[in-house]
Amino acid sequence: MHVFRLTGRVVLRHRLLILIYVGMIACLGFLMASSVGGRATSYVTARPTVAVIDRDGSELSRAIAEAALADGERVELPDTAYALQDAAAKGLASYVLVIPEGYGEKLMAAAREAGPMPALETVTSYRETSAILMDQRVRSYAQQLFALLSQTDATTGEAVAWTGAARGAQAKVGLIETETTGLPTGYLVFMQFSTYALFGGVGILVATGLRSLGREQPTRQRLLAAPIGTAAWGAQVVLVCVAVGVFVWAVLGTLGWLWCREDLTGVDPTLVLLAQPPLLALSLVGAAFGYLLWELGSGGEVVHAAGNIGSMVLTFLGGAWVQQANMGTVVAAVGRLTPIWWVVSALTRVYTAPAVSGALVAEVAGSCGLVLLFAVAIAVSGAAIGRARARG
Amino acid sequence: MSALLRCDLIQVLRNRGVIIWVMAFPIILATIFSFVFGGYQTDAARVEVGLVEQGTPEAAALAAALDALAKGDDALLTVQRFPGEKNARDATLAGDVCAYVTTDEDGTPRMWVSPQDAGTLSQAVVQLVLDRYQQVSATLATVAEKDPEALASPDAAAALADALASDDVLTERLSVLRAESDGFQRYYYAMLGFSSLMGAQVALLLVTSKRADGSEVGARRQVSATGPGRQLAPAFLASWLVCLACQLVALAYIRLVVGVSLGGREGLAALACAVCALVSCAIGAAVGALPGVPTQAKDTLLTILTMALSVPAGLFGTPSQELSDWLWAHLPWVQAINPAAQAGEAFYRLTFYDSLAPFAASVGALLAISVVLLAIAALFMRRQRYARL
Repeated sequence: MHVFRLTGRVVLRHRLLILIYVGMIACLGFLMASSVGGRATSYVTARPTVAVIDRDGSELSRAIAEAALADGERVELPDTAYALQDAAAKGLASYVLVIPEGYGEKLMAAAREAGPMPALETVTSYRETSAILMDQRVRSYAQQLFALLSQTDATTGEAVAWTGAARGAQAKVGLIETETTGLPTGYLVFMQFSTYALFGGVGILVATGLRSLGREQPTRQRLLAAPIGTAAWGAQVVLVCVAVGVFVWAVLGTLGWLWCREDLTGVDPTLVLLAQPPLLALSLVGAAFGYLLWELGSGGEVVHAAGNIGSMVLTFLGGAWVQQANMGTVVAAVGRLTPIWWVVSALTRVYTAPAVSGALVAEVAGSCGLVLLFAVAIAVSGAAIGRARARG
Repeated sequence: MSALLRCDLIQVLRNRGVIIWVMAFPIILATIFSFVFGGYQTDAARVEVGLVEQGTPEAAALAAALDALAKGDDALLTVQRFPGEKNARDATLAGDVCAYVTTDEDGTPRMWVSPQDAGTLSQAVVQLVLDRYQQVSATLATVAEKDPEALASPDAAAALADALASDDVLTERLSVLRAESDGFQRYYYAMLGFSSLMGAQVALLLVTSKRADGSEVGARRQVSATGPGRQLAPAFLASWLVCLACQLVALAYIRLVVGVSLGGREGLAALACAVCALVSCAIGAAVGALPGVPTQAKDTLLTILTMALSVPAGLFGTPSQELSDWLWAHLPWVQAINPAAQAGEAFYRLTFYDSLAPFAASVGALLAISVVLLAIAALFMRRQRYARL
């Protein structure tokens, strides 16, 4: 095992690479994990940011404005074109309700005299779902006012008061009780972010670390003269690649557990353990990728570029940054051809699972198997290329 | 001077890493963004709710109310029926539906959500529908109590119930931005910010090649007849030209090939590229000028800086953008001094605002960052004693 020990020492001597691709990626993953909420202990309804510009000032418009602001997080906004653009562009307010001048009078006329229905104006940001929700809330309230004014002889004040009283009637919402606590969202985000390091980081570490043992390097020439068979040499190099992958996986796993341990308190440990094999399988794909780059004789710049660009592309296609469920059919089909898709898919299944079951274990094992096939395919390609280059 | 400039340009263009990182990487990334976001559906199109078929009249009435909202082209939600609560529960926990709905014995609807995913916007939409369903009968009860004559006839009660459940009130969406925003443009602008930081590698390469502690060539150059200032000026100009060219290529690609809007202000976008190139050169120069730090460590430091500054700029997916929004809302000064965030923001403001003042503020911030970094670089780049290096 001399070659294994020597190669392992050489790889681990690249401390700066370990700092960047393990330490820094873990820190960034933790930063992102910290920005998402934890597990809910009770249901709290979503309250998007909302601003109201009331150009009417009537009793009806004031009531609509108050109802809108009560349903969301209030944002103060001056009535200027710049402020509206600022709100929409930056998403400062997901929904801006503009009540035009004369709206209350026109709504009353529409209700009592069957006049034309006036329109409320809205300015929405790119947060489409929040805007739809707030729009529905505003329309629902205004519809109640309109119905009371059109179908009864209630005064404006009475309509507002009766609508306010009826709004107390709300559907009940309950949290589904589960036997165990599932994985926290922050931990899922950390694991998804670590896919970058497990593929690209491991690949770069392996390819750069083995560089001094490249075919044209004098160290390799001297080692080839040693009394060790080609198969033993190759097996030990492959073992080093695997060891590097396992090392990075273990470090990231430990850091993830240490940083998220408060959120993981009370979580079924089996679920946490079940989330690890897909990541380990991915680290082996990264190791195989590094081995391929090494056998190709890639230089430092190419290795860094291939590792980082490959990681970026695969993490996006694999659904580490954006949700797999929302991807288009063609993108999802292409995404399935990447190992990270199956890792993220397995992690999501473990995250949504209330408890460990046979079906869940089988699904995760299936995903791991597919990821390992990627590793084997890449490693075999690397070995074949290496063999061809040795003969050439 | 021109000979030095030509020499520096050749040195940069022969560096494969620079070409890959500064020119190829943004184009590859933009292509991936374009592909992934091409068919991306927002959550608005996916409010799916489960309904347990309980076989009671109350449950049937609720089902009819939900079905009414699930019809048409602009349906608010999609209803999935489940024969039993266990199936609905499993589907909710698995994330197949955002929530499931049952009715209590008194007919009150109840929504059940997963503790893993509670309080989402989709659930709020379902909750609103259920609230509205509840409030029809509550309003009828209030009117019956306050104004019994209004509901004297059964027809009057039915008409009021119909009116309460109708959708007569209109809202009209105003278009206030110069260009339509779908949220995905932010990725491209963040990517431009990221690529402008990547450009710092160019200045780093050239500056370290002229520093006595950067390379052997740098050591020889330091003792040459040409002073450090005269050597560094063309190096800085060369790195700015290369960064600008790469930024312009990336900008042209995302504008012409990917079709990302710049609000018809392509000329000003080119100006933004020039400022981004300046800030990237300033970062590279400042890092490259650090005394007593090995070149490899500087390279590592720059990589860490690039990645760390790009995360709060919103490049790495939804969590990264949420972090960016949070920082802009709560710690705006952190984003104000982050060149990656300011670079992305400059393109964003240019595209969406009528007024050029916000764009000018971003450009001003980038210029200020450049000046500070260049001052730091100048401080370290002066001719120094050997012992200090």
